[in-house]
Amino acid sequence: MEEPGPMTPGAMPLTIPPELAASVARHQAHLTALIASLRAAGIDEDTVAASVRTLVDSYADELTDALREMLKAQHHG
Amino acid sequence: MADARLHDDDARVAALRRLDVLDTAAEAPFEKIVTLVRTVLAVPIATVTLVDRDRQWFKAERGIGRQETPRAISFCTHTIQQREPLVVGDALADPRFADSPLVVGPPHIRSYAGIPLRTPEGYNVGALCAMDIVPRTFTAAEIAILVNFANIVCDELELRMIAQVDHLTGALTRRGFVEQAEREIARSRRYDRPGALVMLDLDHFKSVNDTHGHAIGDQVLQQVARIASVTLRPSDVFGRLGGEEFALLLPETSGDEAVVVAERLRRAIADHPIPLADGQVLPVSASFGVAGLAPDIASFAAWLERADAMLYAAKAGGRNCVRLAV
Repeated sequence: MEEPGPMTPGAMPLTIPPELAASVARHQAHLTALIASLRAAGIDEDTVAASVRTLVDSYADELTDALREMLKAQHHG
Repeated sequence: MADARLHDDDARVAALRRLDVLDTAAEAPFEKIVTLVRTVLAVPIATVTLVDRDRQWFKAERGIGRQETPRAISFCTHTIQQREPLVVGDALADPRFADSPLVVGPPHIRSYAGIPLRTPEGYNVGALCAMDIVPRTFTAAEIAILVNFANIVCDELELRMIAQVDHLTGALTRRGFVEQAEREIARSRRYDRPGALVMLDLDHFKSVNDTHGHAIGDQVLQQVARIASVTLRPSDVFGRLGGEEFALLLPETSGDEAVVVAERLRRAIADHPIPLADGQVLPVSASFGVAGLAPDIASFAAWLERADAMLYAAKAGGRNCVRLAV
């Protein structure tokens, strides 16, 4: 059974459209590869962690915008 | 076969334009990536570079100090012609770059590593670059890091694209289309080039949905988009403005030439009725309004209004026909 995600009371459950889900999966794979390459190059763990945090945060912001745009487009479609 | 895309510059530039990123404001994800590249690789210069037809334009840059340069003097014009990273240890020892103003003058690039930025369609639209002002050997481990940062740049570009595509038809959303059209107006004005806007609306679409259901209605919309995609040039832009209304943006095309394109599309749509489950076929047709980019058109809204008036005239004139604003 799937664990339900956190929800605001009264909010609809958030489903990511398949097109975005594929993009998210690719991004995760690319981040994993980046972490491996940073470690392989001997970059210190603090820098690795800070870099990944920066990239994750900015991708999350863009993803939220993209979701909002897609929902708006579906609404007007 | 995929590598034929490395040498089709028209299609590559069209793919770049579809990303709708040229001449846009600074954006945090790209700014953060060039900052990280500079820090992690300890280079003074890092860029997210997009290679347009005649220029390289920096979506984000550290250490270059300008927004664009001519393409002819760039390193990246070479990077996008290959799938692998381009690494130059000493630009003064490389005849391709030794005389470049970017090498002999500011910012005095002496070594370069560039990773092609590839779209999902396979076009190299630019490069993620790390540069130094001294000769330098980029190690395999450093190149691997840069490759992985480049993949993340591509993720960000793709994410923007996904948000602009209507997922039923594959056409641009209204917002995506409007943004591209506004940029095209600016480009046409800057270079004094023609452009045309075509609006098309499917005839009697409401009765298709009412009679046959929304699944068949969706099939009709998808078929029209498929026909448009094979009829149009790579540089043309196709968008769904809403419901059964679509628009085409035709750069470098006069109003008269756009009528020929619209007429070809109109015939192709009419020639492809939708087969129904009961063996019958559903005829499909569309009406078209065309407007060239006249000197008195100051905004996309005004351009759209003119094409829309012609679309109305086509509907009033019996549907399944094309009308041009004169």
